[in-house]
Amino acid sequence: MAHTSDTTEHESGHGHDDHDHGHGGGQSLGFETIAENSAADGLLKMLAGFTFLGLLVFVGIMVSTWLHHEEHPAAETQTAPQGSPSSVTPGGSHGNAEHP
Amino acid sequence: MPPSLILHNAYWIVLLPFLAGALIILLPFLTEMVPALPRIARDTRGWKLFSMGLSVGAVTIGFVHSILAFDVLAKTGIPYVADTIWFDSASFKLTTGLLIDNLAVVMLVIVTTISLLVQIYTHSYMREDPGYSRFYAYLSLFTGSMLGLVISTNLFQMYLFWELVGVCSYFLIGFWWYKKSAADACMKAFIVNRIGDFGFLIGILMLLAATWGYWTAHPTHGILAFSDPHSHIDITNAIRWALDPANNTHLTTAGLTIIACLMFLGPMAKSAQMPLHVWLPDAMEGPTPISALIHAATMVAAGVYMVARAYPIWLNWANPAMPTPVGSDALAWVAFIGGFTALMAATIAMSQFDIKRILAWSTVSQLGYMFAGLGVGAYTGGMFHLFTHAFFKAMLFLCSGAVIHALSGEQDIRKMGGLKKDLKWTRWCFLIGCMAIMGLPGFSGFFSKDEIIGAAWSAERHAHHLPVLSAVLILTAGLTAFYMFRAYFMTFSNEYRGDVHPHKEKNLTTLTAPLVVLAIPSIFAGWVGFAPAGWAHFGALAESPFGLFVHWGEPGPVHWRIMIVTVLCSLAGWAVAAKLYWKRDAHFNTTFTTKLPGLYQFSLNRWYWDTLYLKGAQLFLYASTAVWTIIDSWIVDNFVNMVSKVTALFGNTLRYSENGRGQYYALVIFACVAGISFFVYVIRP
Repeated sequence: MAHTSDTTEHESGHGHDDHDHGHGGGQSLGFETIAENSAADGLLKMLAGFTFLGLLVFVGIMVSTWLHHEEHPAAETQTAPQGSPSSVTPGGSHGNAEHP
Repeated sequence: MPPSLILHNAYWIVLLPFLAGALIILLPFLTEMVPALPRIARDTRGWKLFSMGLSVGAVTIGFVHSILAFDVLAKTGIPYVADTIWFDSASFKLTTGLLIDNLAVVMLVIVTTISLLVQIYTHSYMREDPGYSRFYAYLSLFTGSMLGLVISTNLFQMYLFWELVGVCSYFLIGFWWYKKSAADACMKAFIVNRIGDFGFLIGILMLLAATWGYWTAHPTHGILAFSDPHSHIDITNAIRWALDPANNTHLTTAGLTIIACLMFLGPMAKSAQMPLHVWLPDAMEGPTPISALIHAATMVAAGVYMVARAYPIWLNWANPAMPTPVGSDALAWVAFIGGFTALMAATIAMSQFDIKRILAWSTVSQLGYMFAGLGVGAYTGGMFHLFTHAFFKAMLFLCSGAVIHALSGEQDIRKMGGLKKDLKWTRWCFLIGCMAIMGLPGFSGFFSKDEIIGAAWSAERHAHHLPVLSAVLILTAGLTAFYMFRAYFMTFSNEYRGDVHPHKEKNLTTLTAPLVVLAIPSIFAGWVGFAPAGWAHFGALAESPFGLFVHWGEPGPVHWRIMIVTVLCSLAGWAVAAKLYWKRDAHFNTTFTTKLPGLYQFSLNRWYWDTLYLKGAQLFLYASTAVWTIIDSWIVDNFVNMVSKVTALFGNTLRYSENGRGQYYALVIFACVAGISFFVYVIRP
């Protein structure tokens, strides 16, 4: 089984093997495989980096909102007191609802 | 883009993956049917890359859009609800729409992040598979279904996407359908989930029946809505209305508990909780990227999310003005199932040898933690563990995939060892995942897991119960450290024991880049649940950045002593694993298996759940066969025989009347006429 392949078309052959490693018969049936280190690989690696940046932005927003919230305790609304309709509805608003 | 437009267009987060999946499947068929269109050959490199681009592009847009929506919500703090009519009648309205609140938007970010990284990894993992494009289509549909579930505005819409998630998981688990084990596994997942979903649907319908008067009194609003920040016509107020004796609904708190327990059958199956957990380890028959997606952000997370989303249904409504988790029988049931499952799955994981199955059992165990958290009222703690677990579990699965890939399909950890030399990136990431899941201080799992254990301790203390649940969860933390490091040491330490020559890992590739990206939140994600206002408030999740967004009446801060005991227990688990499988200077595992073979076999055979179900099914079949044999041979046969005997009797009796003599027939006619005349003229007057 070819672990890394060229961008060559595979010869027809016997079909699939029984292993879970994504090579479910890659050397057969006359289909084309995708080369390693192709342009797509480069783009996808960049996308992985971009995802990491996105996560950083996500955490940044979360922390900055929290810091802003901490700095304005007077404006702290949290949710309504426990038992009121909005407080027993999970996932509603957070404490910044009344911030400008 | 204006904030209102971002939220208004958030439906694209769901729609784009669906469109991508549908296009990948349908476009080749379309070009076959319409001669004017250029034919698409599905086996070509171009089409495969196009499919990947569509799928990855759709989820990338969803990821960016989710973060933008999160930013909007962080600034405004106002949930967004948009409903369109799905089904309309004079008395009620069924709607479908978009609910973007803090809980939903945090889930959107988790799902799109994990899905995006899994799809990047998939490119490398499946590049030589003939089903490359099909796999991307299923991934897109699966992601879209989960995202649709997250933004659902009501229980019926959620149920629709809930089922779509189930169908997609069926396709993905059975992706290599030509393997019998994969075909059996997807069928098993489908059947077990149908059992749970049946209970879920019955629960929804019972809740609708109990609150019917409330919804018909507000015919302009959609039924069974989770939340409406403007009108407050939602499930919470519907239950409050139904429990009011003045409204004559006959719904009692006990009735609501039954409804909640029936509905919980759905999450029990979807999130693999005892006794409906049996499908999840078998689901490892699917390709590893889908295992990562199922176990981290979709499918199993759906059950936890559903309980969190519809949390009021599980509360104690003894005082309808102030429903609370304290004293709720339904939540006690959730906590019991969660705690028991956490321990059971951990004891099973200890003796398994398939690297993916060890991780699968660890997922079952960690989901148990989440449900235990929700069950003891640690709403934020449960959701926070879902958040941190998504990162490290996705990473661990992707690491296992990298190991399997390097060993050309080998999954047995007994045939591994010493792979740290060849798989440097994977080794470090796996190690980080192990430290996160064991709850090593500073790593993400430490913050979320201790929150749940601490809440269990507090809840039991306040309710004056024996601290059984927290003890179970602490013990499970120790077992978690043991089985995870057992897998780590057997895979990466000491000498290589396999037959296949391992392929050396190259520098950062599309296979390893997602691992590295996930490793960072696996370490640090827990810190967003930390409130550094003072160490005295350590563990006060409600005061942390995460707690600001996802919270619901959280218990107090974690007790220091509980935290220390949990960490010590985890370290003990690590030490035992290190002694047995790294240093190998102790052999009490061998002593254990020889002295207590029954206990070892009990763990190795997964507590005999599968055997129990098989025997149960056989027993049912034998019993029903016996019953039907009795019905067939005694009742049906005798009835048929009786009909023939009665017919024969009549035939034998009446044949004497059919003798062919005219005088005889004239005599009979005369006798009949005489008899009728006698009746009419003599008797009747």
